Amino acid sequence: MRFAWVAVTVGVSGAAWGAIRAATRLDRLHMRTDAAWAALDAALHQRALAVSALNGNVALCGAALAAVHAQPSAREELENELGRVLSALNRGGLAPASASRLADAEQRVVIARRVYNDAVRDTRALRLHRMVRWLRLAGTAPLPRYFEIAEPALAGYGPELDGAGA
Amino acid sequence: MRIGMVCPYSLTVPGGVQAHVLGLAEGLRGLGHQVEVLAPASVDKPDRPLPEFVTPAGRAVGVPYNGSVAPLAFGPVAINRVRRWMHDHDFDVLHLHEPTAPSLSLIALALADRPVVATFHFATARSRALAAAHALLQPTMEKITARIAVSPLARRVQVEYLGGDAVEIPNGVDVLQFASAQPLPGYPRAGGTVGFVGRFGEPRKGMSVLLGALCEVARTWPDVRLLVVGHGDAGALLRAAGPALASRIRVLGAQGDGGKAAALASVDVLCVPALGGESFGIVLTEALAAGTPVVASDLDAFRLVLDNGKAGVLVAAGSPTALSTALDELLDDPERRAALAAAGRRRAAMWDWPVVARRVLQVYEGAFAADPRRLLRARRRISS
Repeated sequence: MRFAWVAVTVGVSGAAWGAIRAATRLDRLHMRTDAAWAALDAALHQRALAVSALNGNVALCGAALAAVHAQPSAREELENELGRVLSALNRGGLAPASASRLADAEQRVVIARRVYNDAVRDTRALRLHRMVRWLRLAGTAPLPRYFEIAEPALAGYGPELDGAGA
Repeated sequence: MRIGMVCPYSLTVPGGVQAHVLGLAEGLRGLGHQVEVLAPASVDKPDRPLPEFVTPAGRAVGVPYNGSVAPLAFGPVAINRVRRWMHDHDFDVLHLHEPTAPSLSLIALALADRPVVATFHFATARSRALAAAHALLQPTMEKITARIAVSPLARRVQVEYLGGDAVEIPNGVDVLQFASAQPLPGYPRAGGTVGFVGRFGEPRKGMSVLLGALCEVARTWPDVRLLVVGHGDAGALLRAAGPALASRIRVLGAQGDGGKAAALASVDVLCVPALGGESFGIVLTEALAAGTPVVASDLDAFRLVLDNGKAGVLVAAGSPTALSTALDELLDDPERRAALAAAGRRRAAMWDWPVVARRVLQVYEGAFAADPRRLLRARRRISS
């Protein structure tokens, strides 16, 4: 009888420890995702600023403004639209300083998006864990969403091989 | 920026990851940043002094890992050293190399309380081992803020087996040092000189293929010589080569970058016959920077560095016949060698350390911007 009690106590405290650990991890991951989103948002704003610094291109400025001021639900689509307009832009006609500022801002968007999507991936993996769902360890926090935009093809960045970079 | 870099492999043993860590640290310091490196290293080797920015974390133990014997450090002493080093320096960003190797990087990751950038070097897709380790390591790996892969292949391993995406930034090379190196006394010589750089005792480096090819080449080039740079047992190599070839082989042993550059400047062709397990091929970029024509196995990683064969000759991996034909043709054609050297020098510019260091810095800044502690501080400011 005493053995049974010991077993139950060990089992319960083990489960409690696991739940506390999962909750701590989850809290850390939500923070990481929020911070990564703030950084991605800032990088997208920087890209919009770099675009608006290109003198006189009204269509581009419009697309940039629309993207950063979009509703969250429309953000991906409008940022993608801006990306499309930018990929069609003839960089050779730009002042070298604005062109390099734009290329830098675009590369930073690529990095910020990887950082954000990585955080989302890790958070979602834990959120879908059985214990986390059953014990509702995530509380009312919404399930984070990936930010999917097409990446610009950056010229001169690293070696390329058909099919291997995908 | 204050950057803390951790290398899992011993600096006492030369290797690709070690060279990468030191080269990147130098490159970043050249850009005016504060960099500290923590790595296993024995301090009782006065012939190889450590740079002042390196903190040695003690002796490493040889452990079979990724097809090589990796000089790793772990255990309570290593944990203590990592903790003290992180406590002594207030880093903005930690840059951990190969954090899946059971060594200092993994320890640093477990202890980290700030943005972490991780670089993944290897590209061996050993799915089962990695998947098993992944499940176990996931809570620790969650602390990585941004990931860098040194090649598209390393990035693919990242995506497929480790559940994450990575920014692709290639390895760097000290272009100036390799481009300006003087050949060894007595070189370049007539009669054909082939070079090999790497741990020649490891089967995956393909020395046996090269020896087979050299037997063939020696028929048309009776004076051909093989210059070998790298860590390994020279006696065993000469025995394996047999009496006919042994007299044509000169083993220089393990060399620093200077010795390697001099050797590359001395040979007519560098041969890289590796059979697999290569994620990048630093020696290829060094040869391109030195203007040394290259014959390499057609591994995916090498194909990328050699621009699909435009900057070097690719041959079927593991085939002594294909290799001997390619060596024979190149030794016989000085014009083609000159053209390959020129193409190589042009291509090498993209791997120059200042270029690579600037791109790595962008990732540091990306990780720094995504630091949850900054978000917390901002929220606190708003609420107060």
